[in-house]
Amino acid sequence: MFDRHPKTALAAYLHGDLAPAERERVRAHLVRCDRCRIDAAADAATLKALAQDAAEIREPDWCAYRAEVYRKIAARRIAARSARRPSWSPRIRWASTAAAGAIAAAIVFFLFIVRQPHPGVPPVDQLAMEDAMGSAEVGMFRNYPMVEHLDLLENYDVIEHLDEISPADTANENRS
Amino acid sequence: MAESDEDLCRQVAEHNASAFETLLDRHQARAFRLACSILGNEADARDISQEAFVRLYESAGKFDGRSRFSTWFYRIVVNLCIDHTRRNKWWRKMVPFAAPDDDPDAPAIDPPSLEPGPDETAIRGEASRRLHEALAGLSPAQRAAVLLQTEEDLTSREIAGILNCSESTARVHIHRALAHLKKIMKQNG
Repeated sequence: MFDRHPKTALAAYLHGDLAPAERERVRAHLVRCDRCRIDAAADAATLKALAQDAAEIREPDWCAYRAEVYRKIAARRIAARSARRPSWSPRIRWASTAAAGAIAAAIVFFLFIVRQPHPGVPPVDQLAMEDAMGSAEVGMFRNYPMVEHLDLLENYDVIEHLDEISPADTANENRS
Repeated sequence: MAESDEDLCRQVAEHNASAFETLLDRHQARAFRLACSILGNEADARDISQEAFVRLYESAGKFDGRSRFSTWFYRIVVNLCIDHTRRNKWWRKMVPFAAPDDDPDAPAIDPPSLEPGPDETAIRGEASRRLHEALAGLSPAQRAAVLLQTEEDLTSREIAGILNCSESTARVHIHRALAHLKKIMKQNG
């Protein structure tokens, strides 16, 4: 039995949606309750007005309607195909990747290998360097490994010419 | 014996054009009528219902057969209508109307209206116009629920399947929709 008014069940009752037991409960309540009976009548009138309104909708030309559906499907297919195709072909992508790799390798080669001192590089003018350095002892350049491990190299001229001094150069000087 | 909608949908998933044509023929009127009732605008209803068929064509493989085809397909229609209504509401909020200090002769910005155009109004008559004004005040879910019952003759269980909610929620939507419609129509006389 409904203790409360069957508000949300009324539309379903009017539409014949309720299970038999529930339908009987609502019917019994409507017999007793004037307010719910008035509400049910108002709901029925509104539902009828909505159903009548639907019948007034103008239907379109179905041939044109279907043609538009097929046109939209075709357009969607073309758009999907364009979206899937990559902007560059695989060959161009591989070529550009290879070119970038070659450039990077050339930079590394230049920075770390080409700049190594050649055997033909003339020895540094130690007297000129001694003048530039002031009181610094030139002799320490003969011992390149020691110079290499100096923590502080303040004279930029020393730093600038450091790469031109190698253990091989000092060895040649010793032999001569 | 005519093939069921569910079998036809499975054939559409296998790119059977004839199956799609049959489904289109069976459901175009209903889809258009439902969209028109929810949106209150025939041009939008045409676009939205056509979009639903495009989605059917593209997504037929996603129909798993656990529900009826009509439940699955009309869920697509209703969701598209609800999304369309929400997008239009956003547009209304973003585009300002004329301020009080603006030139009264200058045309105000007029965002797309959800209301029917003048020729539609003449055709439908005054009572219908009041009904549609009242329908415009419902939430998209309430509007869809009450129209699915009245125009498509669906049970509250079927409506719940389309709206992806419980049966009791679907009944609440219908109850609130009817309460609002009765109130507005009573106010308008």
